[in-house]
Amino acid sequence: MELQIDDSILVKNYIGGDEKALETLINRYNQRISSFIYSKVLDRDVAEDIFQDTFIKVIKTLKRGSYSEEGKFLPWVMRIAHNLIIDHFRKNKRMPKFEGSDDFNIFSVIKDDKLNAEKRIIKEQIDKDLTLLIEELPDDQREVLVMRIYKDMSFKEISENTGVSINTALGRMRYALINLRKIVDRHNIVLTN
Amino acid sequence: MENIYSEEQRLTRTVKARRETIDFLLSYSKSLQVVDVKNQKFELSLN
Repeated sequence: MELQIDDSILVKNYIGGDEKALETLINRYNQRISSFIYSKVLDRDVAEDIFQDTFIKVIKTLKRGSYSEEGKFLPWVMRIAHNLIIDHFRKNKRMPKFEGSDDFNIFSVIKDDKLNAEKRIIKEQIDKDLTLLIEELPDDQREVLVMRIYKDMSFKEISENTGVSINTALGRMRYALINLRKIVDRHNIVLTN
Repeated sequence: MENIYSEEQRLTRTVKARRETIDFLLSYSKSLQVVDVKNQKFELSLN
């Protein structure tokens, strides 16, 4: 039967420079400490992080010679882990985070509506081309189209401003669009984004 | 109607820290040196 070296002796050996003693201690309590942390945080990665931080604290305390052999090694490590778990929850309460699960990803709901650089350049080009094409329209049609599309005026406002009836304004708008399509076809221009 | 008050039993799961985490801790321990200068303790991490 293999003789198990007492924790206090391993701690003493580690403080004395025996790095192997630390490995023995970690391996001896790995499962108990990891399971304890996991049972509280219920997240494998967070548990792993807290386990690591716990032992970093253990290593620092032992190397600084601040460890007092008042209690037992395991309860001491458990207390450090427990405090770090509380810190973790406090931190998350201040900064709650939402992580998508496998079947739901928050980024599929939230998206950036802005055009990317390439699409923005294409849009600018289309706007520029369209301005030139509008110039080719007859004056009365161009006037109505500009008021409706660029100045966002209602047909009532257009009729008041141009001194024609609403029906005439509507008709001019219709012909403006028909003629614009013809001009686009004539020049073989593709206006898509 | 009867109410069921029993709570869903939480599954206890035994987990272990990964080998990489332990290796990191052992390397960290080897690299860490604490020096005492006039009752002040300084941590040195030697890579």
